[in-house]
Amino acid sequence: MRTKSSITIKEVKHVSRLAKLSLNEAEAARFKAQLASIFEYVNQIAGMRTQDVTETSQVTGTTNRFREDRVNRNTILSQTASVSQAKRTHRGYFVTKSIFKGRNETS
Amino acid sequence: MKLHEVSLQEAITLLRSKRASSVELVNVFLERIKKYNPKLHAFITVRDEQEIIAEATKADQERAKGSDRLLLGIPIVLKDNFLTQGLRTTAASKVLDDYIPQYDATAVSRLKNAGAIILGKTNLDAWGHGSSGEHTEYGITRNPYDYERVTGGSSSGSGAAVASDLCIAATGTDTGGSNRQPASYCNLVGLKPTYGRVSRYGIIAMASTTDSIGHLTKRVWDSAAILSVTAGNDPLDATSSTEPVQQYHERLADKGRVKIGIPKEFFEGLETKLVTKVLQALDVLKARGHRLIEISLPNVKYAYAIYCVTVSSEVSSNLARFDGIRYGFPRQRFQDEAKRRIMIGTHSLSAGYADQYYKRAIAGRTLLIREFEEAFQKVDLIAGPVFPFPPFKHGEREKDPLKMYLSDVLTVPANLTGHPAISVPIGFVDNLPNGLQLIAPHFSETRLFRVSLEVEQELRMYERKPRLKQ
Amino acid sequence: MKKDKTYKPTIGIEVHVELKTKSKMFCGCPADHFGASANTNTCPVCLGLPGALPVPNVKAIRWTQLIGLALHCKAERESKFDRKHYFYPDLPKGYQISQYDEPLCTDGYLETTEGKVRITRVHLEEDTGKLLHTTLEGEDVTLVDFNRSGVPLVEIVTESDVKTGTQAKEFCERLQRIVRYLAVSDCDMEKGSMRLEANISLGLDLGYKVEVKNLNSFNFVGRAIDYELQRQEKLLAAGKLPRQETRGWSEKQQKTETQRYKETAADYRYFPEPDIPPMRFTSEELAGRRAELPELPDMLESRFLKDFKVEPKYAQVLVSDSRLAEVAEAVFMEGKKHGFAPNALAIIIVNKKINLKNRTPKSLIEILKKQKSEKVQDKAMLNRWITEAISSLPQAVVDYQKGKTQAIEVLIGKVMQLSSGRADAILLKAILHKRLGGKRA
Repeated sequence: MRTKSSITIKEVKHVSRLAKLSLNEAEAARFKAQLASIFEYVNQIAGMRTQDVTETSQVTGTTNRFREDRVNRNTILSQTASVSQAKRTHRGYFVTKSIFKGRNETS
Repeated sequence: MKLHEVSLQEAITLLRSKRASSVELVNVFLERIKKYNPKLHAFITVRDEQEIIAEATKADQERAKGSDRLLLGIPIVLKDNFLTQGLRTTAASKVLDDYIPQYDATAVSRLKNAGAIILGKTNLDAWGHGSSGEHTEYGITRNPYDYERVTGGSSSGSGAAVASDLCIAATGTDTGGSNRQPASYCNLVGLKPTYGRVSRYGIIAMASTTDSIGHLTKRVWDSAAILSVTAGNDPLDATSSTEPVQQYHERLADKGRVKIGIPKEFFEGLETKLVTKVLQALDVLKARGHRLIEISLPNVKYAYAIYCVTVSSEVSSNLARFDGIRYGFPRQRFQDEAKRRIMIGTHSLSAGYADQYYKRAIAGRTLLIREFEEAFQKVDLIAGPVFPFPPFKHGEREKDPLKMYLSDVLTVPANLTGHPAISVPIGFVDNLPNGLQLIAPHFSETRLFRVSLEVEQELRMYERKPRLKQ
Repeated sequence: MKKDKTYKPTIGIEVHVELKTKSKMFCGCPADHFGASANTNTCPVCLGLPGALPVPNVKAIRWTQLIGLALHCKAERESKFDRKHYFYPDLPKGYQISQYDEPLCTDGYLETTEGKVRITRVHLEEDTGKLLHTTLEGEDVTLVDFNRSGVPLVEIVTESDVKTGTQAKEFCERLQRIVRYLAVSDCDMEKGSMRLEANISLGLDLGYKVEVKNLNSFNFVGRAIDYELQRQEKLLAAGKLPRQETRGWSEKQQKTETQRYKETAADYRYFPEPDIPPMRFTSEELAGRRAELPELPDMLESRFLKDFKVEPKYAQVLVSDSRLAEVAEAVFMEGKKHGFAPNALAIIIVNKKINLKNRTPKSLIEILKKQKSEKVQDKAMLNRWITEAISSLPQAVVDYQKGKTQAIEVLIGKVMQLSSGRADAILLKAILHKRLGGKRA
């Protein structure tokens, strides 16, 4: 089975949209070349016999790491601290440009 | 021995015996930072002098009252991806140029609770993305042993700061070799503890399943001591281990001999001079009674490919929170390296490609882990070089990202398996530092310290200091 | 499209239930955010600050399993969390920690009078922050409050088994009742602790599905579904395929409308949450969880109807709250010892809105015994009062005999007035029915 090892410009633009990164045409072209060569290199994983092998999503080897349902006063931040690093705030809220164009509504 | 040259162990002795004060220590470092940092670019942020001196004064007073916290009054520096409350933390990226964290990382709290004084935050490859120290927006860090060359990365500033005696020790993170590489290139001891040994809470995440929180020090004893402070379970990190913590620096004397596996795959395609140095170091261990055993780890040739996909995937996810709304600047400020890794990861996880890239990579990871576990049935340690080549010139490897990435091939396996690893100085090749890498079974840091201590005692590379420029 | 094709209403419902744990799903912030000032119940974890890590709330996990078991699901032995990626201002990490392919519970069902609705899965995830849209200095902006971010949310997804608006409404009511019985959530549509969405089409093989949101009450659900089915049928009959989209119900306009904002990207790039080790449950643990289930409303209702012979409308009221049902049953048992029929007691409790929190079953029965002994049961006396009531309220009699059975209440009231409350209500009603001769209420 031939696996696609080239990434297209369209795919690069799609990926940049998914990742919320804006690329201009020159950047898109440059990244396309780099990504293509990287994915070509990466394709050699196909040489490993990975069929029916359980996937490793963790190397802790543990399970069931929980916390009790208790309020932890030590980690709560004050309103001032919570919003202290934002570029725009308003009465304790974070402010960002409207996700709508036009009228206002509460969500 | 000049005051600034002391190791952690020596500093503690001096302070406890009152032959030096913490105020003297911080003053000598602050002066050196002013003198040498402008060219080295080891620091991104240096703390306010008055604050530091006040803390040092307090430490001396406390000591006078009888306190003997292990790191009391000891000046250290933190890699700038460790969150420090009230002290700017940038990850060496202009995305976080003005970010002042609202909380301390657990590792930072533990170091502070042990009495350490933080001088500042060190430079790194932005977000941890790099193995040279060139991918920073705060001035490329220079190798104190050769200013034209890289320090290795991503804990570049930490490497430069310790090697230039601008502090006693420095913290770092190791996701693909980032503590071991600058240690190797800057003549230091660099530790990557077992994954989960030290809490990741409050450390800007690069790859959640491989980030290991460690440090760079002048000597092995220093490394062991710091680990005994930072290690241990943290209820705020569900991946942190409940394995008991030892006083590692008190368990360095041991007469046990070990079997050291030498994987032939670790030596393929390397520069001869480098291989010679490594083999010489291994002979030292052989002379001390350890056994060298040739082993084979065939899956190591896939390690970098597996690393590239899994780590980039986790990176793309962990950097999604940087949208400029709650902190920092918008995503346009990400530089090429971060953008590239985010895109590799996003593509690897995207619909239509996740099976071919991400899922296959994590299955491959299982095979690599099995191979290492099987090897550790036969040997007690695995040894090899850290970098395939000695410290290179700035810009030399920049042109081709893939070529740049492949410098990690020897270090990434231990990140993928979670095993602890260390880099200990073994000799200069063309006047450039070089380290030996040792990898141990999970939670066997004591064995790493004991054996690397033997190398250190025999070769004494720590005696060779760099000649700094102002 | 064939015009004579039978369209099959194919509706699936997605319910989100906010758990009333003390703390949030992955951090120790208070989960109760109602009325709190913006961003005061927040910490590095639920704000998505750099370096923060999630640690799961064990109670939320157990409660999710209880919900699943109450819905006849299989509680899985192995489960995990996954990251679901998309960008939105109310999602601080740029991904939501949810469950993808190994949810906590699978394959359940809920019976309704219009048929069984299968439940595909019950899983656990974290809630997002809240957005407020306003204008600041002439600029349209969105304000974000993360108090709600990280609150545990249970998602219940059904198969497309629902066929009508009324069935959907009933499903939601029964689900709400079960969740309230478990005391794991207020499950209140008005407070937002229960949220609904529906996926509506006229056949799975037609190649489209319309998602409907803004279903803020059970009535909205019924009306929106009825409207959608009609709208889709009209389109199909005219040879057009309904667009696959998200629509919102407008109560004002009484119709569904295409939603204003863009659909977020459907490629969520799920992968296992690396910061949280997987979950493994032993069969003993799961058996223990099953044993924690209280008697569920359907079972209780069934017993009230069959064993206690309580009339359905009264049984429903008593069973709507688990504590009320428990006390009511105790009242029945106590009442039986003194010759009171459970249904009679049920009627009194419901009609007289007796507050069972303030009385023990014993004390209530004592009072009723006393009242009964004081009650006039002399038929002659009762008939005299009835005659007077009938002659003073002729319209009520006419209404009742025309079929307006409620009119009898007016007459009962009059007799009570005349007798200063001493007439035995049950006997009175029986005699009145006989004398009026019309339809029995």
